[in-house]
Parts: sequence; structure tokens; C-alpha cells
Amino acid sequence: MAEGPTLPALPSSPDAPHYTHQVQALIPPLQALLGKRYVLDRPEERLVYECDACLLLTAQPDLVVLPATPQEVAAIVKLCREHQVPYIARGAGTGLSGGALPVNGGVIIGLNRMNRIVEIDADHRTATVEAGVVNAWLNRELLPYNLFYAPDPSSQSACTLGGNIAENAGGIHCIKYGVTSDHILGLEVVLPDGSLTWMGGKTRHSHGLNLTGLMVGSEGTLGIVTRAIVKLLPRPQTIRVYLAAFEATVQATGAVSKIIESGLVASALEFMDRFTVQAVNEAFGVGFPQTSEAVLLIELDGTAMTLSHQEPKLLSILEAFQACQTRVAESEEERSRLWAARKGAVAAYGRMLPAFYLHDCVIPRSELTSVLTQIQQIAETHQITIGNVFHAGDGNLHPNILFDPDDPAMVKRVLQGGEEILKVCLAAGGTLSGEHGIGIEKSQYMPLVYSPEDLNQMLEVKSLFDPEGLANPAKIFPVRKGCGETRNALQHPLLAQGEAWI
Amino acid sequence: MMTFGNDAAAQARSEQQRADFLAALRPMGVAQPLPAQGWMLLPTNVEQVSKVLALAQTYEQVLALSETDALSLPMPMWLNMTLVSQVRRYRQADLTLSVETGITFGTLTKLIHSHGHDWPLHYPEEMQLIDILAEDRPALETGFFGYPRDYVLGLEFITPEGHITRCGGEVVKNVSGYDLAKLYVGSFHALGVMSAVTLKLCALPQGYRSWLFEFEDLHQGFQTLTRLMQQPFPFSRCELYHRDRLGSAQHAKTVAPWQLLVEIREDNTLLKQVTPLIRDLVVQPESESSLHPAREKALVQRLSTWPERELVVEIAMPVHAAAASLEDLCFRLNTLFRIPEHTPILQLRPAAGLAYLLWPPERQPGPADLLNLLQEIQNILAQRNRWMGAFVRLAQCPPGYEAVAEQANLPTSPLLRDLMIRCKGGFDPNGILYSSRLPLTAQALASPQEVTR
Repeated sequence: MAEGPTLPALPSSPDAPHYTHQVQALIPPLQALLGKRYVLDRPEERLVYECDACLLLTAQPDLVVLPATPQEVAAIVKLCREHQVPYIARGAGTGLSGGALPVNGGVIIGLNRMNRIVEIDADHRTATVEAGVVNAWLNRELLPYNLFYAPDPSSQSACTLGGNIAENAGGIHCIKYGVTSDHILGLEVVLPDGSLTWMGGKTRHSHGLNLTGLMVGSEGTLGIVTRAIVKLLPRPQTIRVYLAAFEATVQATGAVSKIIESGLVASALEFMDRFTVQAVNEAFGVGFPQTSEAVLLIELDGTAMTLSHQEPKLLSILEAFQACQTRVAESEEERSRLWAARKGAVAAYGRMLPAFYLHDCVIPRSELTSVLTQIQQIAETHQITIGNVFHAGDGNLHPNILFDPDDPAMVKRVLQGGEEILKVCLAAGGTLSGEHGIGIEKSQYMPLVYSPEDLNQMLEVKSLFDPEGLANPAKIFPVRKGCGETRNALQHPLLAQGEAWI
Repeated sequence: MMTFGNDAAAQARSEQQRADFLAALRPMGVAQPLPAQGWMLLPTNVEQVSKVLALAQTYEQVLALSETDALSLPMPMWLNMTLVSQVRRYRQADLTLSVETGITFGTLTKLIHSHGHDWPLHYPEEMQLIDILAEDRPALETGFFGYPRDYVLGLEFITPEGHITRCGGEVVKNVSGYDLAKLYVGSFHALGVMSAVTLKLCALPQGYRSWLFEFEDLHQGFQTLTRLMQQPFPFSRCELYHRDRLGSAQHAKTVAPWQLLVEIREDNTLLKQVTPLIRDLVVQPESESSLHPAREKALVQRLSTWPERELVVEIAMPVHAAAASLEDLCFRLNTLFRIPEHTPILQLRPAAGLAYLLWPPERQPGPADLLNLLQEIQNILAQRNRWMGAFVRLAQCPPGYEAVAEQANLPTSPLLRDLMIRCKGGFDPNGILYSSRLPLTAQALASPQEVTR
């Protein structure tokens, strides 16, 4: 390996505008390639692309381009490389870690026009999709085939499959069906040298190095995924959703551990705390038990025969952990209503405070009780409001710290509390992110998880693919000292004041 | 890095370097001479593995981690991980196990079964975890439970320069940084040494039931297979094979040429319910024979491994329609095998989209005939499967077929080949880790940086 940690060179241009000269030179060939309509250079056009769903950070691109084909993406990357301008692929902008932020400026390559489902191969249970296809659209198209694509992030009605692949997105059902990487068979990728290639194919068995697996979750730093072959699954014959309410958090987390330990394979196992239940009830009127401390939503799926064996097991566990209320949603309508409420929990928080800072740490499932208790203590210490709604079956916590962005003191407390939560999770044997990615938001914490040797190994891989460091720079890895320009480029008021870096 | 040729000075230098390397290893006491020629290096812990690699780098020694690869080197230097086999951490409540990779599958399963846990992919007891991971080796259960890679939560990986690194972790979901485990698992020991792994486990099923059905006619076997696969039963194994595949593990009573092995692991009550339903679906229910556990063990052992000198071709295709594709392929192969004495033994794993053609030494075709055959199979697959359907490769290559393997196994995309060489060159620029199984040319494996340049 190369000597010492070596970050890919970040283009250094401390003062905005970042790449004015190079971008001006890029515009004519890009307009010739895509048409003027799809090259956005006016400030009001670029403003739309200054943030994703990570509400703490903003940074404006120098240019936005909207290609329609993989070949156009490849040509854009070649041009960017020729002019040494960084580029950042972007889907729907629903990412929660600032992964699509043009930290130092550069060109945003919006993939939303590449939204065709190229093929549904029902015989082989695969679909070939373009990167800009919205997750939920694919499942809508699959209904007549009685098939489905399993990864279902809460933002699935808006997020794109390309973004899901970049972040290795999960969702409610990944406890049983796995995360995005478990469902990707092949990828068409534009590499940082502008070449276009396929990795993998329709077979599950791979041949040689598994570059497809490496590419998933690499946050657009190794190349841009333009098309994907995804695995489809037959829709389960029977689905049942159970709601269990508990008077103490420890009972709910104990039930989660027991369910895991018993070998009962739930297709979803979600936790909501009292605060979240109240928010969801107020927003959606779903009638979750208000007085309980914790609610679990548990889904079992399979054949009627297997469910008839699983259900008594599940109910006996819930009873053993003193669930004060257990009910089952039998109808499709009721089931949809419960899941809509769960997926809408973050939106429901919006009724309380205008913004949220959402963490995504994963902990060993046996540590749930202890870590939740510590998160509560952190909330009290910093006088911040935290709602917990998360994928309990995976140990994937989502503490939502609510705040008012116009209250700098509160923002400061939120950032401090957020950092403490991360440290508590890491101390419990956990990790920074389970499905949202590291992006820019958590990159500074990577040294808490990995040694310099570990990070160097990842950077070596980055440099094998992208020696010039132009593909989505300043993501995943902590920026070097002296990269004040990166910090300055982000426009959060707190950062501008030179306060904590998140 | 590897020197070939007769240059006397180079030879003398190479011998001196080897002597210096062995002298440097002496304080650790890890080197043992192999019976014929060469050395086996048996480190007892990760730090020793790291030192061995660093010294190999200094003294330009080529190491191999698999026995087959080691013995194919002019002067074998076999880095054997058998003694690096400690259990690091067993989080029983979380169903995760961190363990060093020299552990054998038998020891691993004994440990986890005693705690009511299981790794649903089963391998021969003596097989080491490191080899299972290096090949991302499909198991009989792969069609239903996936590949070893799917169970790896985190890895400790020692670079060819001896740096001990980690990726992933001990939790079941993790997107913190690149998923390098995906790259390492299945890299055939070519990028570095996977020294420890955290595995995701599952609960040990309450019971299991295996069925063995026999058929005179392959078509009947496929009919039964298709009927079974259309049912939503929780199968764990489904293997259709020719009786010759079993060799000495063959049951004396077995007479029919085609055999279908099916297994379900579930609660005993569910097994009782499923059993009559399965029998109803079988074309010739009278063909069923019950399997004694000892016989089943021998059978699984045989079906999971390839005898040393057999030539093995692996065919991979999209999974769901694999049964139909495989049947079509089998009947077309009949016309391909024009010389009966060269007819391969078939083993089919439709739920995983895999088929194996095996030739014992006495039946093996010549390299040129084999290459033609592989090309014809590729053509059949291309006709049968639509875009990006399937591939065929030499999975086990006895001496004499190396050139065929190099030609047949190379990825067809030059860009992909270049990326793989770049990876090999980035991780192991001096080519100190020898692996014949990574599908690259011998030159690219030995001097990846030069090839890339």
C-alpha cells in the first residue's frame, strides 16, 4: 500500500466562486452535448441543488447538468476530468448525510431524466432500471407480476434507485430481506476516467473480484451508477402486522432481543417511543396506544402454513414481556395505514419543531436497552427533544433530534448531543451508519470507528478508481487539516461562526 | 516478481533471498519443510501472519494460501492458517460470532450448535473458513440461503505488506465506509489475508428432513424438481445429480442413474405437515428412500467437494428460470458429447442457478476439445438466456488445462479486466500472493503493476 494515509486531492479553491473559470469553459461543450435546457447555470436554478435532506448543511454547485443516457453521463465525466472539475451524482436529493452536496463546488450530475425501467424479466426475477427510477415506481410496475423489490427506505416514494445504490439504503423490511447490496446483481457504471462498463449480470454467482458489491454504498466516490440489474422476489402469500404496546421501554427491547434469539424471522420489527407515538397519532390519527412507553410494529410474512407456526411463538414472546396491548392488522388497508404512519414519523415531528438532525447508528441488538437509556440521559443533559423511531430488529437506531435552525444555542446543543449519541453507540460496539451513509455529515467521525490503517486501505481503493479525486470529493473520509475551504464552503451559520464541525 | 527462466545469477539471487527469508522467520519457529520440496509456514497468531507477509515482501518471496496453489509453485511456500483459529467474541444474544479464519467448519459448527445457533451454509468438516471465504464458495444451501459473503459483517484483513486492517464491524447493518469485505471475500487469496471475520448466525432449526428421489430418466427428475420448486415450501437444499457423482459414497441400493436430494429445515410440526405434500408432488413416489444421518453426511461431503484430479466446469445462470434452462442445456449437451467416453458427470443446483460438469481423469477431453466445448456451452447459454444471462468457467483445473482456464475464465470486458488488475496491483504491487484462481493472466497475477502500466 502507499505510504501513510493519502486523501485524494481535493480541488482547493478557498473562496467562492469555486470553479468559475473551468466551468465557463465546460458550458459550451455541455450545452452541445445535452442541449441548453439541460445545463443549468443561473443562480436561481442552482439554488435548488444546494442541499439534500441533511438539513444542517448547504453548498451550491457551480453547474447542474441533466443527462438522459449513460453515454451522456460518460461524456460529462470525461469533460469534467479534462477541465479538472469535481462532479457529484445526484438522484432525488433525499439523502440524509449530505452525500450529494457539492462541498467545494463543481458540477452536479442530476440523474432524474434517466428514469426508465428498461426491462422487467419476470422469468428470471430481475429488473433492469436506470439510476433515476424512483424506488416506489418500480414496485408499482411490478404489481401485475406479483413480484417486488425489497429495499424500502422511508423515502421510497421519492428516492431514486441510483441514490439507494450509492448509499446502500435499507428500510423497514431489510431485517428479513437484506439491504440494497443484497438485491443488486449487476451495475452499469461510469468510471472516473469516463469509461462505461457493466459489472456483474443477471446471475447471483459472481466471477472474479466482486466489484459490484464494492460499488454499492460507495456514495458515488468510485464512479456513477447509471443502470442496475436488481433482484426481484415473489410477493409473500400472507402478511400479518402486529402492534404491541409496552409500559416500559425495557420490556419492548427485551421482546426484540427474544424475537431475534428465538430464530423467528420477522419481515419487519420497528420501535417507536412515546414521543413518536404521540406525534404520529396527532399527525395521522392512527390510534397508537398513547399511554405506553414503547410500541413495536412487527410484520410476519410467508405462507399461511409458516405463519400459523410463527404467530403463536411471537404472541407468547410478547406476552412474556408483558405487552399491555397486542393487536393484529389483518386487512391490507389497516396494514398500509400502520406502515404509512411509521414511515411518516419524521414528517410528524415537523409539527413539533421545524427541523431535525437524524442519526443512523447501528448497535448490537442486545445493547438496545442500555443505549436508549443513555440517549434519554443525553436529551435531558442538553435539554433537547429526541424522538426514537427505528429498525429495532437490525439494531439500527434513528434518534431524531428536533431543533429550530433559527436558534443558534439550540443548534449548538443539538450538535453536542448528537456527537455524544454517536460516541455512546460506538462504545456499545456499534457503528456510525446503517443505511444513510457517511457523506460529509459523519466523515469527521470515521477515525472513531477505523484506524488510520483501515482508512488508508479504503483510500487506496478510492485512488485505484479515482486517482484524481474528482468523483464526489470530500465524502466518507475526514477532510485533511488545512481544508478550511471545505468548511467555509458549507453555509450553516454555526459553521460560519467557526463552531463545532459535525 | 516470480522469476522464470534459466538465468544462473537470478537463480542464485533467488536462492539467497529464500535462505535469508527462512533465516528471518527462524525466531518465530513458523517454517516447516514440506515432504517433497518447499516450506509450510504455520503462524500461530495474527501478528505472526503480519510479520511473515512483511518479511516475504522484504525478501521478495511468493506465498500461496491454498495448498493447491502452493504446490503448483516452483518452490512452494505455503502460508497455512490452521493455527490462527481462536474465537474472538461470541455475542450469543446478537447471533454474531467473531472468529479467526483458520478454524475448520467442523469446529465452528460444533461451537455454534452447542449454543442453539447455525450458519445455514454447510461445508465439509475439515474445510477451513478462510478457504470458504476466499472462494465465496457456494454450498448445497446457496440457492436458499445465499453465499458466505452474505454472512460477513466485518473482516480483519492483513495486507501483503503486513498491515493489519479492519472493515465492517459486528453489527448486522453497516454503511460506514467502503464495504471492502465484499471485495475481499471471493478474491481467492489474491489481495491479502483474511485473518478474522465476524459472521451473522441464525437460530438452529428445530428439525430437518431430507428426501432422496431416484429416476431412470433425467426428464422425470426435472419434472419433479419443477413441481417442488413451484411450491412455497421452505427448502434448504435441492440438488439433482448423476449417481456417478457419489463415487465411494454411493449407497449400495442405489440403482437409478438420476438422484434428487431435497431438504427442509424447520419446526418438527411443520415438517410433519409438509412431508405428505411433498410426496404428492413426486412423479414416482415409490422412488423415495430415507437417508440415514451418517449416509447423508457422506453424501453432502461428496456433493460439496471435487475429487482432486477431476476437471470441473461451472455454469452460472439467472436463478429463477434455472431449472428450465438447465434441462434445456442438459439435453443440448447430449448432442455435444459426441464421444461417450468423454461424457461429463452432471451435478445441478437449480435454486442457485449453478451446474457443474465433472470429468474424472479417465474421461477428460483434450484441452482443445474442452475449449471448443466451453465455447459451445457459452453459445447455448447466450441463446437461451437473454441479455447478460450466464457464464461458464473452469472451476477446477488439473495440470494440462491451465491455458484453457486462462482463456476461458478471463472476464470478457477488457475494462473489467483492467479494473481487476488495478485492484491486484494496488493491493499487491509486487505480486507476493500467488493465486491461480483469480481470473487474470499469469503475467497480470505475477506483475500486476507492470501490466497496468
